[in-house]
Amino acid sequence: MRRSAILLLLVLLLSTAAPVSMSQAAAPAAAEPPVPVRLTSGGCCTQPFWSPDGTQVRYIDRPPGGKLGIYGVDVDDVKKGPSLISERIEDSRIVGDFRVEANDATTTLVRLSDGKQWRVPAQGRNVLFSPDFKRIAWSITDDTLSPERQVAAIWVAAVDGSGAKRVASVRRGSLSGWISGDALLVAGQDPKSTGEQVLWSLALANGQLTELARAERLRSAVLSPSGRWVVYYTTFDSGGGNGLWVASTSGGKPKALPRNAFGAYQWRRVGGADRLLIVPFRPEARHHEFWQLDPQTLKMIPLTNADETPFKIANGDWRVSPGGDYIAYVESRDRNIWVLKLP
Amino acid sequence: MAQFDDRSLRSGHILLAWLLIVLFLAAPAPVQAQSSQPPERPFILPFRDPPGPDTWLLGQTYGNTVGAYFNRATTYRYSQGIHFGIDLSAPCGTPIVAVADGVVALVDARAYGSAPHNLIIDHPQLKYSTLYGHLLERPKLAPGQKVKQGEVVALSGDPDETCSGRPHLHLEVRDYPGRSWKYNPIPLMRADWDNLALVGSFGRGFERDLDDPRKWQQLDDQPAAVTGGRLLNDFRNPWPKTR
Repeated sequence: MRRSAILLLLVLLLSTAAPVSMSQAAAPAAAEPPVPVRLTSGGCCTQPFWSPDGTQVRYIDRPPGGKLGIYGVDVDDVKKGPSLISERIEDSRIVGDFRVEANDATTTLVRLSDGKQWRVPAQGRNVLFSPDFKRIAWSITDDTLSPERQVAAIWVAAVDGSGAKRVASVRRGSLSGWISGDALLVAGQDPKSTGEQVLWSLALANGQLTELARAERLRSAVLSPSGRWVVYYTTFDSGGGNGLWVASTSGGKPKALPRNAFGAYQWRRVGGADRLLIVPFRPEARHHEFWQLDPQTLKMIPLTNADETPFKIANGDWRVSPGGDYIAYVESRDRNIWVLKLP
Repeated sequence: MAQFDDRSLRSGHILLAWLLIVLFLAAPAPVQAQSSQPPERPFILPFRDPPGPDTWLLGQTYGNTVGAYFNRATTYRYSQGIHFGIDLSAPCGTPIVAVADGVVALVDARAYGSAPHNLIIDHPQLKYSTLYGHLLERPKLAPGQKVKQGEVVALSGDPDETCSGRPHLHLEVRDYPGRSWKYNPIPLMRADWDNLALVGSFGRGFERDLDDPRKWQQLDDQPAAVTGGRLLNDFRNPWPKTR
């Protein structure tokens, strides 16, 4: 009887023990809920990122007794464990065929395929590549000024650094990305001094700014992978309307997302289409969930269920893989890096 | 006969399982030992409303933030280069509550910064003081006045005094009675910080010391800072190196 009770307790305990650790991980069947898989141990590490081909989760570390560098874990072979990928930390800034090396006052591009490198006039700032990698853009702000007085100068040049040109100056502004090969997404304060924050499409051919969205406090604008959509959130407007919004970069009225969609967000490509991944903000939630939103229809579907796939992201630290099929995140419970394959 | 025995055995196991579950659920929760020690997380959040896009959100966290690193020699020089409080974004005029029972120590004490208005409450029983900064107006409290945990003590404001750009409450936890040491409020304040950190935060993470890249990378693992001490984050080998 006592043995039966112990056995039963063990069975009950084991049946509730999820997520599984790396050594227990097994590929879930298609119809089964996704299972988070642990990639690191010992409370290691933070700020995971993906290899450009999306096959590895990478992070910066100096493990006890080991070397400083970028470590990586193959998501298709997690049992192999982490391995040292590069001792050059700048390799965490590889975009396409380029590595961006930004120091105090200089920015250098290194082309990986032939090893050639050259300086670009970005004065130590990071640069954003156009979709065809033929041009770069960056912004320069005098950070010694108070935020109220800061003006962002937006610059564009050919990828070799030639033809650098200031294309816009925006109060309290920032450069959000390339909408296409000839247009940038720029955020900043309304020049008419209403105090509102505005999102513009900046046409590089003629410098024209086209307003896409505005709000008193417009935050964290992120372009979709295709450049067709931008998501942002608004806060503390006494007139309501606070929360997540999506706007088309080709114009039109921004669309408010459902109230229950407010949360953390990143874009994902699914079958060539842009989809917004959302971790809904539930202040007392024991576990997080991923939801997916179609920006065209605003239809939202759950991708995970907290009861079936319990996980919790620490410090908002999560990254979608380049292919959009995996999430790497830091788990709140053990502060290790985990990976989750999305349905 | 054997079949009967198996069924009996299975029924017995099911009964036993239910019994165990009932016993487990009915068992009294362990009684917390009474102690004169202050609770591990003695503070509550300084707002009554739950967080959200209409009310308030976490802004910059305490410690070795990337933002503080790049302003270590200027804005944060006298707090050893780190962000020495937490910033909670909130519309101007949001009521702020005392995070613990205490006594008003100072009102609009310019030496403590956090303009345009600030308030310092001492919590002698906890050996901490708390500072509420960037307030909308001078708090209507007088030094020596007692306040209760949860009592409205001030209104949040904006350091730029426009109430449009970056309205927020800057909240510090300091030592009592010296008030020269600043501590990370996160391990001392009852809140689900991983949920709060999902949205609204400045999202730039913590600066890395590549000589020890795991150091000070978590919300609740950040160093204390003393006014006027040497820079804690003047790393020989920092990452990122530039803004």
